[in-house]
Amino acid sequence: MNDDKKLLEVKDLAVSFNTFSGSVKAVRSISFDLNRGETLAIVGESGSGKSVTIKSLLGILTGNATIESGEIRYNGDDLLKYSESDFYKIRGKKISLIFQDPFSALNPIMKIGKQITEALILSNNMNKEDSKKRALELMEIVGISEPELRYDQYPFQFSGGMRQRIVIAIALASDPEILICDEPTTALDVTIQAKILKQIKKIKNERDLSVIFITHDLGVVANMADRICVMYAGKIVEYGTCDEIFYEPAHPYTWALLSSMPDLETREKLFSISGTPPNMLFPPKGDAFAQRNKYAMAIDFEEEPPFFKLSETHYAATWLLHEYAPKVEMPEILAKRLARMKEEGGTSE
Amino acid sequence: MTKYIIQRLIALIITLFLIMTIAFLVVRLMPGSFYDNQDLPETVIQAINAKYHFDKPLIVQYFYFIGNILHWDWGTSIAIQPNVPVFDLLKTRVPISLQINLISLFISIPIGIAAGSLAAIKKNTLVDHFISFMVVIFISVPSFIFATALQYFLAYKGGLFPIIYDAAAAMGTQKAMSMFLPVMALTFSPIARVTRYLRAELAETMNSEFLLLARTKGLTYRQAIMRHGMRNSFLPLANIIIPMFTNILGGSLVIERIFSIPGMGGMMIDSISVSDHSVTIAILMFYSFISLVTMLIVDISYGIIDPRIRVGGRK
Amino acid sequence: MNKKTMFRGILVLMLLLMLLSGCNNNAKVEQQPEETTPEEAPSAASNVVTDEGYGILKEATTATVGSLNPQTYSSSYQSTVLNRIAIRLYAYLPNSDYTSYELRGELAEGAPEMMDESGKVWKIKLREGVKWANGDVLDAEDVLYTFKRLLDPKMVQPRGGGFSKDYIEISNAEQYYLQNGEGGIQTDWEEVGIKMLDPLTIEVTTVDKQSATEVMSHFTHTAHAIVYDKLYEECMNAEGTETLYGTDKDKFMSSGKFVLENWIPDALVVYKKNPNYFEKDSIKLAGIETKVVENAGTKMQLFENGEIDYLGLSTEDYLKHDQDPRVLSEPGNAITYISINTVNPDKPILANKNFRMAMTYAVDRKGITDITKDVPANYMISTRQVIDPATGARYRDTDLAKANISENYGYDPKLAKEYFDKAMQEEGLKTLELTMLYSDSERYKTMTEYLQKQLPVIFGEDQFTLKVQAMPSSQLLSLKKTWKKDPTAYELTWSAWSGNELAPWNAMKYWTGSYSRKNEPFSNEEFNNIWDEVNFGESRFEAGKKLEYTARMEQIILEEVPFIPVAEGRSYYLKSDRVHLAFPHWINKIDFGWAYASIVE
Repeated sequence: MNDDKKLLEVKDLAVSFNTFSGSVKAVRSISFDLNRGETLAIVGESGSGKSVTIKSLLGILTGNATIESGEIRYNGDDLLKYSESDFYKIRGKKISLIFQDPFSALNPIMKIGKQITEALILSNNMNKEDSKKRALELMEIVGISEPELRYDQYPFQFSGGMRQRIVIAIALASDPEILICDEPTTALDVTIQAKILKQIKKIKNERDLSVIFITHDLGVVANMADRICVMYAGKIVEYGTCDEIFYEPAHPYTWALLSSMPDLETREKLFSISGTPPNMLFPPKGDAFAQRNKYAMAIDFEEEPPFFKLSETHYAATWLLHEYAPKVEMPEILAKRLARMKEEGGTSE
Repeated sequence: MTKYIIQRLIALIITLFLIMTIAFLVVRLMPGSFYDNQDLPETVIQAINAKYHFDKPLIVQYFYFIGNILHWDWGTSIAIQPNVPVFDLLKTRVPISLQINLISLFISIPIGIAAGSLAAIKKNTLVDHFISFMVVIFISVPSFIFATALQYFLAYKGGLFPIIYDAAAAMGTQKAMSMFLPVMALTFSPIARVTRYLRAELAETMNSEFLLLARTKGLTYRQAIMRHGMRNSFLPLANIIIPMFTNILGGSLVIERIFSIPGMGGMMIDSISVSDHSVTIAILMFYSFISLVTMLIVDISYGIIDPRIRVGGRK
Repeated sequence: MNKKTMFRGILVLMLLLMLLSGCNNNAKVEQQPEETTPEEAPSAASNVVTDEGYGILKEATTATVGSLNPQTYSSSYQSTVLNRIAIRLYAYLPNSDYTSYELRGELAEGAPEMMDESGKVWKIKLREGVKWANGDVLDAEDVLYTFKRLLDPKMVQPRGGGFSKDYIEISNAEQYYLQNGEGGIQTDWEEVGIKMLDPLTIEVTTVDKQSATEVMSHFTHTAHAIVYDKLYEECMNAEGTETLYGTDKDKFMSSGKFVLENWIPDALVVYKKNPNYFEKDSIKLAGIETKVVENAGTKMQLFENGEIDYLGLSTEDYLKHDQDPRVLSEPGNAITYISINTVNPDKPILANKNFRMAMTYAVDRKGITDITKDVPANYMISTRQVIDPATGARYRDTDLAKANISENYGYDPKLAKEYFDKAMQEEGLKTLELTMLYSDSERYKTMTEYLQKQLPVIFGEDQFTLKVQAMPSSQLLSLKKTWKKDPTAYELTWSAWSGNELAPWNAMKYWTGSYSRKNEPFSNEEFNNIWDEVNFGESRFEAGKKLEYTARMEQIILEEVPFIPVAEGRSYYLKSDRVHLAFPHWINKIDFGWAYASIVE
């Protein structure tokens, strides 16, 4: 949680896509930092722009994407100005990505051992024996048993959880600095989820990685994150430390998100946010969440709220925090729940 | 896997047997005899019919036929090349057709793959549109139109190649030159098919996650396409390439006529016209055999190439 | 990697397969002239030596020869090939000044000698010093061997029937030939009327009295050419029923005007002049090269490129070249006529003579042939047929023949309508619909559709319709002959009849009652009687009798209308300037005499 050095700085990033119907504004000017050695979680619904953000970090956006503005500062360079060959130097080696769907992320007809060593041989110019040794090491690290035997097998011979571990192994192969996880557990069942998350945490600690963790599941985040960014409709609506976001959420969207977490302790109806995210072809005027916001005020429909400071580390972009706004407390149910959570044990260890 | 192959081989033999029976029935039931174009007195006709068992009931003829086949005696031709054993007849003709077809297939595949990959990689650009346009033309325009045009413009008017196939020359530049145009005419359709197929496959593969992963883990665009895109697209390629072989064999008849190539295509039609039953049946069997064998090879090849079947099957 | 080597292995295998699969025994390694300049027309395997300074005639044919065994002769093109490389006892050869043909001895020396007044025993002397291409002696032993094999009762070759009985009937030959069949009688070879008196003399015994010309004519048939016994025997199968003689170039021995140099079935035949031929000076060519080219367009291209020396012209091509002095024309060969199935029970009107008269007057022969470029024919014996083989006089030129032809090419729509009405009344019909079958070629299609349009106009649109149906030619051929078993086989269709160039009276057998393989039912007693007389009767030797009988037979046919002659086909050829023909025009039996041509470069 301490920032001895900012590893990655994203400033005013805006990305849009050219489609037949027009220009979809996927990311509309966001800014955030990644500090060395921390786990930053980016939370939001599908379509909020999370994946697009990290894809632009690695330069793997699709052909019809346009970077409207912004810069991404890493290692003294602006990643947005990188050419393909520049990216070649950092992909895998400095910044690695773990995909969401382990079932389709691996080449179904290539042996997994080869898939792990491929990057090493081609990118790092290792020879075959060394790369194999390293691959076996990695497989142990990610928790795959009998690595010698498994080395020559194909993806379909592994379960989902194991495949994800392989994806992680691939990501770690070239010893990156930053590990980006794009909803790595969404496609897996809950029991495996925990294991994978534990594994990631362990690896992070052992190798001193910095992790960006994308998810829509706050439960997952609670375990892993040091800091959290909440995104909605291409913008960051609130960010802060894990404790701050969980116990003192300020944005109605964050409230809604927290409320919609399934809670085994209560017998209440599962909360869900009514409505759908707006069509980003025509981004709404004002606060994008206003339409679905119970607490929306007239101004929410007119002007976008700026960030209001709640603490050094905690900012929220909602008009409710304006001095003239009526005092609104978070829903009672939520408050109770959070209080209970706090009692029980806190968030990340 | 071996068990599977054996099962398929048995099925193949049974199928061939059925085809043989049906072919026999159909051919024998056709009206007309090989001596129709000669004026023969009744007595002679009777004697000839007795010699070839044409006067016996069909079922008896059938048993003679099967009996001969089991001795690997496919009969002798009675009209096309009288007294020549059918097997020898095929032995001289088949290689010629085979050679032209194999060469054209061999050329079409790399060209098709290259064109298809190019079109997929440069999807929706001018290159892609041009290639797709050519594909449409090659598929729609029948091969013999190309053949005639090639012959007229390049051989006759241009004098660059011999007008017809040189049957007498041994393998060498002269022969190769005379083969060039017919082979070329035969390549258009397969090239188009392979291109179209590969373009679709590769375009789909290029959108896949694992390709993205490949790039993400540090492979260059080209490396990712070559190692992941191509490999995966090639897998189903066997499915269309091997049957193409059978198609070409059948489709080269007109080309053979245009370039005066003494191949197999014309022989089947001639044998039907002059009621040379043994030859007709033998050629039918040959085509059937090739078809069935290629299908078998395709199925087996999947078992070998696709690790999901090869390894997964063992479990 | 295992996979890599496997892949490479497959690649190499495929490459080998590709290159070697074209190899076959027939491909000879030719002496390619090393200094082939690009301007030279790439000629196929010019391996025939032109040391005498004579040229090589280059031909292209659509037809192909399936076997060089004369005894399995089945397609007419085979005769062109075999007549060049296999010697016969007698043949139609050029006369001394190349103005006509002459029936004379090729292997035989001189005409057959009548041995007694019965006219049934004939002696034939053979030339001395005749050799096979490999130098072996060719004498009466070879002749006997050939004929014995031709009549072999175990082999039952289709041509055996024609040898035993055609122009002449050889005594006991047919009996010997059919002895193993149903009702066969055990016959020894010695009983057959062919004997060898000495190595250069043969004796033939016939059943009836014959003339020397008839005997000679009999032995000119391509199927009766002499075969080489050693190879014939070698290639015999175990059961003695079939031989592979003539199935490829190494299983054949030449003996005629040319020696077979190379033969690739369906592709190429190469001939070289035979230095041992008895009349070798009549052959001015060093050799002939014949390519098989089935496609008309390709042939034209080859001709214009100078790669072939002549080609047959299709109707359209002829129209393009009709002013071209290089065009040769060939007098009509076959009469195309409409066959009528008079025993069809569904259409009894076909049996009505008045109806058939109506039909024959309704056909506008001139109108049709103006389109098809044939010659209108309301007669049945074609122009080229010769009535007197001794003089070469053509039948159609005689007064009797001309008398058989009605005016205006037999076209009279008014008369046609009259007959039609009469016939309809007799049959009690108000409307009539008939179906005409035709084989799928442009020419037949044109003619059929012409009639389809015109006949209703003449007979009355509301009274008559002609339906037409196309059919593959081989199928139609077979169908036509099935009327005996199934009388409804057809109603109207087309046929063509070429008759017999030098014996039109003989070919009339087709219309006799006893002929088995005919397309339509017809029998007329007077006709049958005349036919027997002109072919076997005593009076046939009288001067002018043959002409009289033939003309009368034609007259009967034209009166009875069992079929309706429509047109006479005519062929045109284009010849290159480098070829000089030996004959001034087309000759019966020799055609243009390509084998006797010379090349002037």
